[in-house]
Amino acid sequence: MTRHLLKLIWNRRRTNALLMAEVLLSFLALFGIATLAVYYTDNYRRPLGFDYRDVWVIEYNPKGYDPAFPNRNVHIYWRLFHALEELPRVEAVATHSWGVAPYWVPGGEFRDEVDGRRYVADADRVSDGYLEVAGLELTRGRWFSSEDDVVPPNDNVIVLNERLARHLFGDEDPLGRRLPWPPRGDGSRRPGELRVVGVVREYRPRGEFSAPGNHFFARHRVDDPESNGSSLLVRVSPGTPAAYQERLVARLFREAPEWTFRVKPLAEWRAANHRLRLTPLVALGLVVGFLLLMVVLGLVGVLWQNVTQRTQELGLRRAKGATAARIQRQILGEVAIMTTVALGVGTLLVVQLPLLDWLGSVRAGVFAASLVLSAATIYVLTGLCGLYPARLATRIQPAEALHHE
Amino acid sequence: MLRSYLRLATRVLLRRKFFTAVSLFGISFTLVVLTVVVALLDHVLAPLPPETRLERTLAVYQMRFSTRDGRRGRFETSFLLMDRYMRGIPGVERMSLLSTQQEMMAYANGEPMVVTLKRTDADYWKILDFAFLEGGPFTEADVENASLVAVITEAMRRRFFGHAPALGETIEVDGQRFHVVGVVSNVSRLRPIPYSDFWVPHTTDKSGAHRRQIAAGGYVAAFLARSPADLPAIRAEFASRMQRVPIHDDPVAAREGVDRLVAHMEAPAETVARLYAGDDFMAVDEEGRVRLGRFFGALAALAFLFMLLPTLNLVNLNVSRVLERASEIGVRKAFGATSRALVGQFVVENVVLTIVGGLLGFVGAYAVLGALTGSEVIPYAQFRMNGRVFLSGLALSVFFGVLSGAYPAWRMSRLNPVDALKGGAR
Amino acid sequence: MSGNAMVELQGVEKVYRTSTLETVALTAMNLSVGEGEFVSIMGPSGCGKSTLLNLMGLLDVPTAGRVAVNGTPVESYRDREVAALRNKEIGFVFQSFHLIPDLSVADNVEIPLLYRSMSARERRERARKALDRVGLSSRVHHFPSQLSGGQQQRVAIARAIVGSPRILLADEPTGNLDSQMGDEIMGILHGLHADERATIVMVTHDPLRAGKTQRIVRLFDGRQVN
Repeated sequence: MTRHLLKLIWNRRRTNALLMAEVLLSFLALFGIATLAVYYTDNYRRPLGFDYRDVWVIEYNPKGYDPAFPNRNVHIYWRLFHALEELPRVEAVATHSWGVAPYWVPGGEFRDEVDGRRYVADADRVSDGYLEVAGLELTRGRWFSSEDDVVPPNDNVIVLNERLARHLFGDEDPLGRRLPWPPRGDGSRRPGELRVVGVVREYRPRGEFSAPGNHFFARHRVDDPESNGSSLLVRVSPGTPAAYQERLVARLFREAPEWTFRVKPLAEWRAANHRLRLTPLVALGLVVGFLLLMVVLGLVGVLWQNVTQRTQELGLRRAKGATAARIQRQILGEVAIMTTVALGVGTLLVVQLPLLDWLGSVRAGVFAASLVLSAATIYVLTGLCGLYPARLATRIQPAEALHHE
Repeated sequence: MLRSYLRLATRVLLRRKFFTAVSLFGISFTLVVLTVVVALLDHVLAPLPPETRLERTLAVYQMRFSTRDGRRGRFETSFLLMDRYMRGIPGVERMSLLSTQQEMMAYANGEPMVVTLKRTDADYWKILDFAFLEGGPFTEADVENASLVAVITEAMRRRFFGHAPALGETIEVDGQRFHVVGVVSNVSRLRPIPYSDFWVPHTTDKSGAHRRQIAAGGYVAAFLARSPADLPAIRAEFASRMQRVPIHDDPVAAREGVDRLVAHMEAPAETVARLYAGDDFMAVDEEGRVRLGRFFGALAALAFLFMLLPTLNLVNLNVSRVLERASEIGVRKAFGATSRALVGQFVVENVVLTIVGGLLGFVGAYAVLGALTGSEVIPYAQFRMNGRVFLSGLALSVFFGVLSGAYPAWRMSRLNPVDALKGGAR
Repeated sequence: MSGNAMVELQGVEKVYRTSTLETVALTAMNLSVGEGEFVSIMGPSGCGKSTLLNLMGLLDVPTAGRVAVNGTPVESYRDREVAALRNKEIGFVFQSFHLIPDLSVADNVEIPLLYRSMSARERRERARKALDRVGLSSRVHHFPSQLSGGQQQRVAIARAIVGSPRILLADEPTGNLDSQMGDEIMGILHGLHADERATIVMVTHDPLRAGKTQRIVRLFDGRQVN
């Protein structure tokens, strides 16, 4: 039976080629969206490492660079910092550098090698208050504090997340270990060292939908005369209404009337991040929908041709019952074979991804799950498409069949 | 003859309801997508109040520089440069300088809001045709005196003052208190020049850097020509003035070693092309000039590819539909039907199908556009099906119908009557 | 070409060629059917009788030889010319009726007239007359599915004669009917032959029916035999 079917399929290869191409394309698109969806779901379930609630991010735009007073902005920045600390309802204030805030897509990662072990990590420079502002959970050692003020100017202290600690040092104690500064974009390195003083359980600034990665914090000393932060983060007491932002900004304007400020709760940054991550899902969804519709269209057309041509067969045989069931099996068989061929090619293509190591942060489990999911969906769809024309074949009236003699 | 074809067409299509339904669905879905895209393009490109004079508008958004040591970069247009060197170009009726959109904080009844703010001059209101619901625009005097006055949109009025009138009221934005002098209807976010929530005189800018330094960018220059015929001359004059701008006199430029500054005037269509297909899709060349032909070419190619798949599928469906009536073809041929008559018959059938599908597609597109407008995924945008969109959609469906019907009809008309009578050979 | 031959075949051959096989369906056919003749073509199945009829009806193209209809040789089988001949001169009746299921009886009969320039009213009038002739004027608005086999074949005959063709070609017209209905059909054909001096060529494998016609042409393996 299979050989007969294969011959039939080969004879009509032109129309079948189009159909198989469509099935292939839909499978690839479906696989893409399934992978994305499974990846996102998988990531979402993992702990975030920080608490985004009741945190406000303050961005500022200083006006006018005056070459006569190059560090005037830094000066004003720290004044703003202390002004915030004194406000009621503000529980903690922290600076944030090398990135504006969590959920903000970071510019780039650090890559380096330590003791022969390569690592990739995101990093932020934050002040001592960040532990409380972000609600981090310390697992080993300690967070930054004033005892780190005596660190020599080229060095700094750092806190890692557990994943980076394990990656760099395995089961050994990371506290007290030293790392060189990771190289800059042009390859040069700052002099000095980074000393590990603590480890937090987790920190995922890229958001719930990104795969967990490595992270470390470097310390920003409050009132550092040389540099200001990119932004200011405050933790406000729970239940603080959004209207309180106005008061906060008014206090900032008192220190720097010429500057522009923008206050946005971290929850809004989170919402924007999620929207950004989910948009490709929607777009892909539309594409998948379109392609699947094309498959249905194409399949129905080809199968209808099938049934029409087979009705002549039916008429010739005149044994309606047996022939109809046989035709039904034939049609579904053809559909199954065509789908399998297309899916086979699709799987071959898709399997290149892990082989070429292009999976990136997508885990093997996710990959396998979406592969199975997409293939199953395609089979179900094509199967359903084949059912109706096949049923048609069984309901052909003998008179009609006779017409085609 | 046509009437008998039509009668036959309806009956044939009704007999095979499932396949007719599938074809209709495919056709109408494709047409919904195409119509929606056409409507979106129309929304973005066509003259829409307040931009009623698009055909004689030009704008300069970006300037590109290169330095002596080979660095390149770009920044938003410089207010100072445009103000100082580009006024009085022959053929220009009016020139306005407007800032790019700035997101500022304001507080409505204590609730924080991010408003989009534009800083501009009095000529802005003469280039564009805003519909004022209250009051009017700010004047040259306001700009000269740096009066803290503002024009707001009706959405802003609703947020700050509910249903009460806004004229004369005060709104604080980014620490500055502005008096409302005018209220206009909302503007779609997809129109770069008129879009904003708030307009204030540019002289109210806290730092005033844009009026002192050439390198302080962040503005857009808009030009209204006297007539479309003046446009080429205006572009030429602009280009030649750009070449004569003394860059070296500016301290920042001198410090950075800038030796070349280039800017281009863009027609509204070119701006759209740059915004949507700019550097990523090479609609813009290295000089910053927009390649409109490429953009529309790419769009057309995409549209064609998009229509190709459903067309191919429908061709197959149509071939089946026609194959099923092979014996009818044989009979008609036996009794003297020419190939032309048969093709005509089947094309009529197909066009009927496509027109019905097209009408369904219009209904669907209308619903989708309504949903898009209602969902406010693009704030303040009203997506409509106007006459232009309807006609384009109609043309597309006829094209589609002929395309997907011609080949099957032609194939079947070539059938030998003997084979056709036997039920349609391959 | 002889004087009043309605259909004439000279040296006609029909060979079917596929990529692997060559089948000779007809060879060395010389046949002439005079005006007003009622001829039967007989032979075992597969001997080429249907092919012969198809060639006479210009439904197929001979591989060699010439076909002439009503004295005019068919020079080219180009679509336009052949269509005109089929429309004006020839009426075909098929074994399996080949009525169009989506059209009413009247619409089916009108089909040949659609391809002539004629008003709708005139078409309807002539169709009614043709249906009258075959005794089906009471079923004008019915659909083929509502008729018996015999009635359907009568509609087919009406369709074949509505255009007043000179030649009527019938391919096993009673093959799908029982003997009583078959007799009715033969009655109509003989009636047409007698009353209107129609030229009829009929393919049949029933020797009794063939015996009632004027002349029998026998075929065997694509050749004429006696």
